[in-house]
Amino acid sequence: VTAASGARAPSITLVSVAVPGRLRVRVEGLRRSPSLARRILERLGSLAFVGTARANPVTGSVLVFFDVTRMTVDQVVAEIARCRGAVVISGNGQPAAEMPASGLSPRTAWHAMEVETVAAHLEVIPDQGLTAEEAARRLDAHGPNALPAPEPKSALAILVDQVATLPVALLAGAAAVSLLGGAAFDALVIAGVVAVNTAVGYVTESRVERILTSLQRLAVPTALVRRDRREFLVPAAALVPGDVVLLRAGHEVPADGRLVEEGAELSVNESLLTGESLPAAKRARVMHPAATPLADRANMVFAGTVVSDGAGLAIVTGTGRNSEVGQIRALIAEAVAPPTALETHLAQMGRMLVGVTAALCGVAFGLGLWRRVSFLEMARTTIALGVAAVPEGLPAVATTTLALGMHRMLQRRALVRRLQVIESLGAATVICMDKTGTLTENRMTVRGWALENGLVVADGEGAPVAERDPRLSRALAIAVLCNEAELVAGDDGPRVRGSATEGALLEAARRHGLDYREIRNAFPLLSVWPRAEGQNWMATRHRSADGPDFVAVKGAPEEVLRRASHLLGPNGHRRRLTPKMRREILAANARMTDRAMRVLGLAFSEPADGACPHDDLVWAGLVGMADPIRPGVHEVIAACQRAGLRIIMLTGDQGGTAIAVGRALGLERNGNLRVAEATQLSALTPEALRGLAGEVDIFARVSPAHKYQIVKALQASGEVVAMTGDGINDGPALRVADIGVAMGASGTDVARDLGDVVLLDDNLSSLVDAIEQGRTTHANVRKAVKFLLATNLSEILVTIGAIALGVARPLSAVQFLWINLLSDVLPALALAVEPPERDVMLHEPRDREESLLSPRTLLSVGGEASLLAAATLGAYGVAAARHGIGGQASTVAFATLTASQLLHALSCRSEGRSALAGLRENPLMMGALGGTLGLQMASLTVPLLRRLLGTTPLAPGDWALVAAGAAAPLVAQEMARAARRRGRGGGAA
Amino acid sequence: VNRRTVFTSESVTRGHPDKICDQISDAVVDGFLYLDPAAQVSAECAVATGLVFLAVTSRAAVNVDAAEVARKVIRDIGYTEAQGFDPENASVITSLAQRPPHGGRSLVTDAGDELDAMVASDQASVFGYACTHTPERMPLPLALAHRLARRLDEVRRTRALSYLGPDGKTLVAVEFEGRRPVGLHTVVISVQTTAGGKGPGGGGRQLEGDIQQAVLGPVLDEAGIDFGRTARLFVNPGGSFEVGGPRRDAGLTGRKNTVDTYGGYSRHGGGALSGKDPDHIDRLGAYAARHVAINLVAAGLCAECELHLAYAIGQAHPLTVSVQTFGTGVVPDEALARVVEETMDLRPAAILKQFRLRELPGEHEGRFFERLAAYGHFGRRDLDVPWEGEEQRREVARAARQLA
Repeated sequence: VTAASGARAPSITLVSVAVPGRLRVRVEGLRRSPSLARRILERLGSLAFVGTARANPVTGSVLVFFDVTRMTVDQVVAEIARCRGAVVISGNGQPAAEMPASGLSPRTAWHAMEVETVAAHLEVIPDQGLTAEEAARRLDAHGPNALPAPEPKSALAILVDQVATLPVALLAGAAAVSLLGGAAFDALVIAGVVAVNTAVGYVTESRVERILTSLQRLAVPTALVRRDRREFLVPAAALVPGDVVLLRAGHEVPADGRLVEEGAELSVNESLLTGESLPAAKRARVMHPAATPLADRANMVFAGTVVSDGAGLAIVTGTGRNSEVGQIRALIAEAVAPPTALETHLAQMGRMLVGVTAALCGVAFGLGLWRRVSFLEMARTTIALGVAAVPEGLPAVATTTLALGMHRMLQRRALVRRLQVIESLGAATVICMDKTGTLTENRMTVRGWALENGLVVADGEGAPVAERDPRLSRALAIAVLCNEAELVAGDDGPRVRGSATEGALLEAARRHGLDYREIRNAFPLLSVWPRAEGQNWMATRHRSADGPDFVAVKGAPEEVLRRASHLLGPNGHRRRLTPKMRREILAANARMTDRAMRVLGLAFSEPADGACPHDDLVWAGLVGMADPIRPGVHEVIAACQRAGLRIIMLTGDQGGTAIAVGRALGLERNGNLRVAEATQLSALTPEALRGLAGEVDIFARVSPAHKYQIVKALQASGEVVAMTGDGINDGPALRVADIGVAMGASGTDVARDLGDVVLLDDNLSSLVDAIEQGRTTHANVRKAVKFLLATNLSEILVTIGAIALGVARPLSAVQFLWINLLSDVLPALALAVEPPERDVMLHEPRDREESLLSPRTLLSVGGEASLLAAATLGAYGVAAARHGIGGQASTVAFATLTASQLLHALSCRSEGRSALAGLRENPLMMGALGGTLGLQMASLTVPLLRRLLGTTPLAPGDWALVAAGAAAPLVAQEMARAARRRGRGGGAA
Repeated sequence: VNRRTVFTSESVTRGHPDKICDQISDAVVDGFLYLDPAAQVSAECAVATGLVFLAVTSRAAVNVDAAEVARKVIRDIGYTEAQGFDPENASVITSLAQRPPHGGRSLVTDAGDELDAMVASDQASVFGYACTHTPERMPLPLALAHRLARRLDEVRRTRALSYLGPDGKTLVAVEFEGRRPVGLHTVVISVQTTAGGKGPGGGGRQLEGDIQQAVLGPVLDEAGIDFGRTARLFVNPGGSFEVGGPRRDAGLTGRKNTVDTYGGYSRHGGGALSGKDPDHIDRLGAYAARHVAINLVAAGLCAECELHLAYAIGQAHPLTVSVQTFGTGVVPDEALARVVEETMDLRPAAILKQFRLRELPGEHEGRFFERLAAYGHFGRRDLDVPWEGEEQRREVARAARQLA
């Protein structure tokens, strides 16, 4: 055992060794761990004498076929045991049945095989293709080349989702209690609230589903396939392993395949899979070691990626779920969505409230009996008190607030998939942003030229060519000659066929008024030296009408410069390059890289016969291209930073570009930018990764699996993570993040399917709105909760207080239910739609773990409830002194309690501001208070209601008493608040 | 009455984790100075298994892709995936603090009066040493240790001993009579060998023979030193050394101060040398002090010299200059100190101007300080470093004569 295998010596349970060369073992830790499955497969795949292997994260077992003449069972087991995280299982010894193909089937290292080996393996002759019968047979065996599409949610499912929630259950429970307590009216009101909620939720969510469905691509992808020596266009779903497909520029690669041959400059944009925005060059004859990462397999093409240039022929090696995209989908299926904060809190609060209310009602009941109130009378009052004291309005308030938030977001073109997402958004502490396609436009453009020795003479938008310097004309000529891209007419302006970089150069020439076709016609192409391994430049030789041939060279600045001996001066004359000039050129290169550009060096030569055409070059200049940052992204980042959110940029780009983009975006914290360039995050310990994730602003050169790991690591250190993304590769991370944010317009179906929030017009600023909405929602729910708790508690305190003081219980059961009806739902709903407070995006995110009811909040709720109860008991006392204990005094208490509760809603609007500030922005609040106060007046004046509630008419003095009692808590709190504001103002001055 | 004593110095190969960090730090400094001679930069590095951490603070007109620099250094040293530290796939974490450049303040101009304008930005106590043990005027134990380390790297790179890995350490114990070296006492060489039983790793007999033949022999021959009958050689005495480099031990910039300076034979300042642009007085002063010491020895004023300079914040001239010649001086040490003060301008700006430290990376194609970061900053006859120059020996000799 080597040191690497660690302290825990694993012993793996052998399940089946009956067949020589076939081994099945159970590995603990493998279940539900696709990452361990992958590690095991990678390890086994790298062994020469292992044929195929399967690691099934569903069953937790590994099946290995190996060469018994070269390896023993023990050796195979030892290899598995070496995989980090593989721990033994105590096994059931029974041999399992043949394992169903799991989502993570064996990955044959096709990229490590010669084309001929691949063809032999898949039993196909590339020149002929499969026969139609064989293709049909394989289609039966392997299934269609398609990913299982998620079923759209049915109307019933949406409805059930709306009804089968905890809030609704609480409401229904409250209704049942009300019914038992004989308050059918109450139950009716509650049922109405449930109905309204369900309707709002249903309408909103079906609209969401409808829009999502309409976003799905309807076009059926096709593939050009060779079968029976002929080429057909077939639906991509009909492809099978072994099929020979033709790759066409601009088309999607229909399935994973091993290249057989390629046309000149075949390149594929794999950004959806690898996150690298530059297209990858593909070569059939390149061989790779088995452990080569996906992004570097130049002899393979992958489903879902797009051919950006050239043509090629490939043998299909993986279709449907067995393609790399399918694998990611399998990974997605394993990712479990975390429970949202609100669910946790509501459950927590529900339990607490039931307990507390029951206890307090028990106290009141006991006190009543002790004070010799009749048992039946006390029971009735206690039940009424219980019904009144359980804030049944609470769940309704929460759901309604969230649904309203969801609706508001939709108006801002941000589709929120689930209600609870809004709430999570408010607690978000970190936003992971995928660079390409989210922060930048995924579109290369020329942004600058540095001619001669670093002198920048022209920016992206230059003057027409005739007015400019001959040096720029020369540089542009080289840029379009040493260039294999074409501009073709597209639906909206010219479209690039070829690599993004070369396309950007043609586009620049066009902007400068040059027709690249004219230049290419004037200098016909003679030969090409393509880029190669370890040679980051290319050269083309052209015939020139008047003089020697013209050789154009473009490539990595350092390498091209090393081959140059002269540079092109202002008047077209040549000067010998001095070390100082070289340094200046490299400094210009560094400055351009600093401005987030990808920089190329341009040079030329006019070689005499026999001279080496790419030595002694004449340096023509540098050209810098950049993928522009989306408009508005700066503001979004600044707003997020003000709101105390940490932004982490994730990108497949190299460090240099990533850093420059990060600086341009303002990702520095305290002038310091922390960057992790990590190609092998899996080599780090989870603790190290957690530490890193807590510090780093930019993760460069990351792969899809890394994004997932980074999000997990952030969550492990207690962060609430929002993750934006657009590519297939973002899927797992989007899913596991607390809030997955998908780009709706430019993103892929995978991203759209998995996003909790879909930005329909790709505008990140709606994300800021969404966070503001989330924070406001949470704040408003809190306000409503505080209101409900304080008012309901005040009812209990009034009862207990009165009984304890030895006076008769001041309020009847019916009066309690009436108060409950007036004050429980409407004012709370009005609080729930309070507009955002001004500073909501200027403070740190709240702690998600923090309960809605912190001890401090509970204390202040207790204080407010006492205030309300004291005012009521005070008014009751004064009235009792004037009229004696009886109907009159009870009516005063009843009126005071109701009115003071309703006015308390104003106090709850803000914790710092005055209760009346900005009241006009919330018309619902004014309406609710006006309406409920009116109803309360009616209860004291309308004879029918008076009879029902058992109130007596009030004298003018009583009215004044009620008004004073109702206003007193509000006034007291306003004064305390004003004093606090003054104190803080004084402290700041 | 000369007592026989033994003094020991050590050196490490380029692939030693601490040295990797020193080289990365200095390569970053080189990168900045190459493109912007006025750049101010400090670069601290740490390495661990599969991980490079690099903190760079810069005030420069341009930026350097520090992560790429780090990968290049690691690649250059010779680490590959097989050595357990893959330059392409190691995670590189950079912490980059950027301050706006302030237009060539520290660039030295020719106007003499302005030399006072640049003052020490920090306090520093620096030492310089030179002696007559070796042609490069370095103490013998360290000089031999460095040569062995360099030779280990050479035979690995030329594939003469292809099974050696990049990590290694050498230790040389020399017998002294008084302060005069008289013979070799012990040589210890620990060197990483490639895993997998192909090479004769694990400290076996063949490794010892190979090292003796290809490393120790040529080094001693070149130095004209006899191994002697009593001296002992230990090769990989700690047993098998297959896991090496950052996979075995983490490394940190500035941990090999003794190796970088005089092997402990003389005192050295507290500050590390690597990863600092030449404005840093602990680096600049250490080079200047060596230059003074080597000229005093070259002038024949002493056989051995340790110079101590103290700089204070805000002052251009050193606070104190003191000389210790261990009784070898032809004039008293105090007189030599006066000679130094009269002949050598030790203000930071003057040293910068004399050594042209900010321009050197530009003149050496961006690789100057990085090379100093292995095999010691002093006694480097293989590089044309200005502080090893003895051009002022006549001047100091004349001044000493006048004073005497």
